[in-house]
Amino acid sequence: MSADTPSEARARFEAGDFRGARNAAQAGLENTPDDPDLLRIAGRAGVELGDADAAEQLRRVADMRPDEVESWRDLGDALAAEGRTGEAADAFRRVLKLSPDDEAALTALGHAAYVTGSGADAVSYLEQAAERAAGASTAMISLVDMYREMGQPVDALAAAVKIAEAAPTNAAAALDVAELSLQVERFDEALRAFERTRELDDVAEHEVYALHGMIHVEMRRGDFERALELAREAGGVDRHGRTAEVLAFLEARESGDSGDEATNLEEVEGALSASLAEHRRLHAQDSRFEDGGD
Amino acid sequence: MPRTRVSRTGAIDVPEMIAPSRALTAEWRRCPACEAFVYYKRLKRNLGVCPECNHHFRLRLRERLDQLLDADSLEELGAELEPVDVLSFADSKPYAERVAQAQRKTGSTSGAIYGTGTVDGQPLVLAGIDFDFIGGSMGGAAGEAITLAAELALDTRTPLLVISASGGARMQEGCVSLMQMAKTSQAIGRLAEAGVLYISLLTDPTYGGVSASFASLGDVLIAEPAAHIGFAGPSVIEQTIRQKLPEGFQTAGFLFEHGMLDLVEPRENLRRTIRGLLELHASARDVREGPAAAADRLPKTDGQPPTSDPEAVARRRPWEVVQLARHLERPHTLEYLGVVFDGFQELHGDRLFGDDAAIVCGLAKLGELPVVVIGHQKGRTTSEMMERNFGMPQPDGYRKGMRLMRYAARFGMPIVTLVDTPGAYPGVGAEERGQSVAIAESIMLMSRLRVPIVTLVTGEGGSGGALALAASDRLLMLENSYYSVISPEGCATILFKDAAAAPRAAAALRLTAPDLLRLRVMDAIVPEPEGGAHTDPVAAAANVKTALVESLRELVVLDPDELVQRRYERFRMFGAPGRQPVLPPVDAIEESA
Repeated sequence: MSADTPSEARARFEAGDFRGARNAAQAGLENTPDDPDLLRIAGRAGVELGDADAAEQLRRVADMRPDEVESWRDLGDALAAEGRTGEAADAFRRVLKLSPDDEAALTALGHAAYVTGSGADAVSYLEQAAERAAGASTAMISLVDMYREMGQPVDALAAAVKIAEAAPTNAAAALDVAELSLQVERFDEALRAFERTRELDDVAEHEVYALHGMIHVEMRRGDFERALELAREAGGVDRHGRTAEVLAFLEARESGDSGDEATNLEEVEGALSASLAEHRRLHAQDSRFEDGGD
Repeated sequence: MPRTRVSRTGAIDVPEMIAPSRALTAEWRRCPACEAFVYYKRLKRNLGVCPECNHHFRLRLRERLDQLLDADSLEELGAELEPVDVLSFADSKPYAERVAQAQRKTGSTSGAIYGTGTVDGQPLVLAGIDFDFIGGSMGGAAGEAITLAAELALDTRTPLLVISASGGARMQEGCVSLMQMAKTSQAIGRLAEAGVLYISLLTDPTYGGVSASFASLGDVLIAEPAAHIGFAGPSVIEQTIRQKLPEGFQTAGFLFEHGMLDLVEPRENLRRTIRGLLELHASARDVREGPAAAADRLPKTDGQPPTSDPEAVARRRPWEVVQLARHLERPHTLEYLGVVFDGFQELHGDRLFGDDAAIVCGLAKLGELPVVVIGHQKGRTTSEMMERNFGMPQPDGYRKGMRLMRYAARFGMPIVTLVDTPGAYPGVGAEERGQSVAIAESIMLMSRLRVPIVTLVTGEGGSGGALALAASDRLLMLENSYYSVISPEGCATILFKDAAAAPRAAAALRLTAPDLLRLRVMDAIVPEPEGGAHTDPVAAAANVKTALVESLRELVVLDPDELVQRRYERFRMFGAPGRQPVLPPVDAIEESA
């Protein structure tokens, strides 16, 4: 092994050249098979490349250096990448023993708890992680969904607001705030968030969904006149007639000819809720898995 | 370009301009289908497919190219392409502002990519549309990227791969956007005329002006499972027809079932499938450029050679032959495909109505010679027989076959057809969709194709349903197969007024290989193992391979004009006075049987 091998492997890893890093580290390991630094780089690069033996290499590092936080975090990362969630959680617990504030470990344990059906533990871990993180952390993002599922819309809204503040150009984050604000009847906040969604979504055909949200807010707070104005605006951008029923109801109500108003109101609210669900579905489908474009 | 970074401590640094969804930032991603939280690296290892429910996450175009192409092989062209605000359009915001927003979000100037690359060393020209850029809508810049790619493919005679994800034509560019459908389609049309392979990969979602132009014009159309593909969006259709659409409507599976796609491939198979197609077409191109070498590409074989001597095969009563031809254990097309050919890639659908399982079609190699294989397929178990409709094709099956015949002609590939059908399916739907038209068109198409065609009757050769795949240069029959204008039972009922007279009818119809050889309906008999092909399918397949190779060896060297002329003469002589051989009366033994 050249004296430069570990540093070359490390440099390649940090430059994102995982294949080069792994090859350099593996070459070094042929001479010094128990070198923990080389095993670590080979294992970390192997995790990125999907190597089958990455977790075992990192387990060896953890066995050799059990007092290092990084060893257990790497191992947890490798095991989680293989879908061995329970074993990953064990590794992350070792991280927490050594470093009780470790955000990555808390986040991982939160998700592992959720996967194993322990919602309360999941929330507890993720709240701790979110406290320690800045901005739109993984923990905070997942908390929005978990609070929502646990029937805690106020908490979900608080988390969603933090994410939207940290990611002010993110349409999906604004939609979360809008939806949850409407649910907890914070109408002004909901209206602002729907307007924000409308601004941020670059697909012109999605504009109608944001307008439907705004109509919904105005109807909920009893401003039917404003709701009618918005419905007319929505009708102008809605080439598929999704607003027709809402507009007909609001115009009939304005002219004092609303028939069985309670029944009709229920149907219109149902249609607006369906539109909101469609809007959410479109954004959920849009969620890519990768790091982002370049 | 900026990229999202997730630190090892889980702290996140997200450049806002490239974060279209909050889920983008998370180390744990939530599957939109099953709602499971999945560790990001696990998801990435799985190519962006949820390990819990197999949901295929949408991919950014660059990520997809990373998955499909060889590392560092992508050479991007068209950096100058950029949307132009040709109408000075503004809705709730000016189009120019929407474009700038999309450029910031995606880091792409045009919302499309074109260039060159390799897949396992096989070169291709590629283009793709990024759905994150204004919903992947096709304006002038995207249309230009696709067209330039097609033109480059044509100039260099390199296969083209286009990856689509789009909401349709871009409204903000008005009719100029609409014209992209024509521009791209004509560019693809030139490729088709020149015989340059075009693979279209349709990803979730592909709609409107994109699905109704270049995306649907591939020689091979591939989609990922559950990708949504259609012309009108489902909400538009629901609003129009005032009905809820069925589950799975406009998914890849739905389109496949309706004959619109060749393949629905899980993401993990895409690279391998594309590589296979590229390799096979590279061989086909080599053959086209040096046809004399085609014969050299045929394999050496060790089967028993075919015979053109009617006396050389075991003498069996015709009714016995019919029973052997129908034997449940008799090898069918798919079995022969597995033994006689290599690397069979089945292609599906007629691009009109359905994918008829009674006919299988695809690409394969006979030795090193790329060929198109089309064959009837019966089932063996009850459920398979039902699924394959007992080998009785619908018009959709023949139209699928014709699609592949045209494919073969476009790429200069010889065609092998394997016939084994009781007949074309006699059903209401078949008549509604033009069974007669389909059979007639198939016969006529085959008669004029400028590539060699060899047909082997492997079991039953039931009338027009068989001939629709048998208007070929060489007709071979396995020793215990039959070929007839009507089934013996049908003939017995109609002409002998007695269904029990089927054995007698079988003899009278002269439907066995030796008699048809004497009548010059067919050219050679392929010997079977003593008890029939089912008793030793491997030996039978070896004989089949030898017979096919011998026939093709004679045909691939012929000039296409001569080939077509000889085929014309071959069928022209039937019934022509003085040219058509006449058989002596059926002997007493056969008749009494």
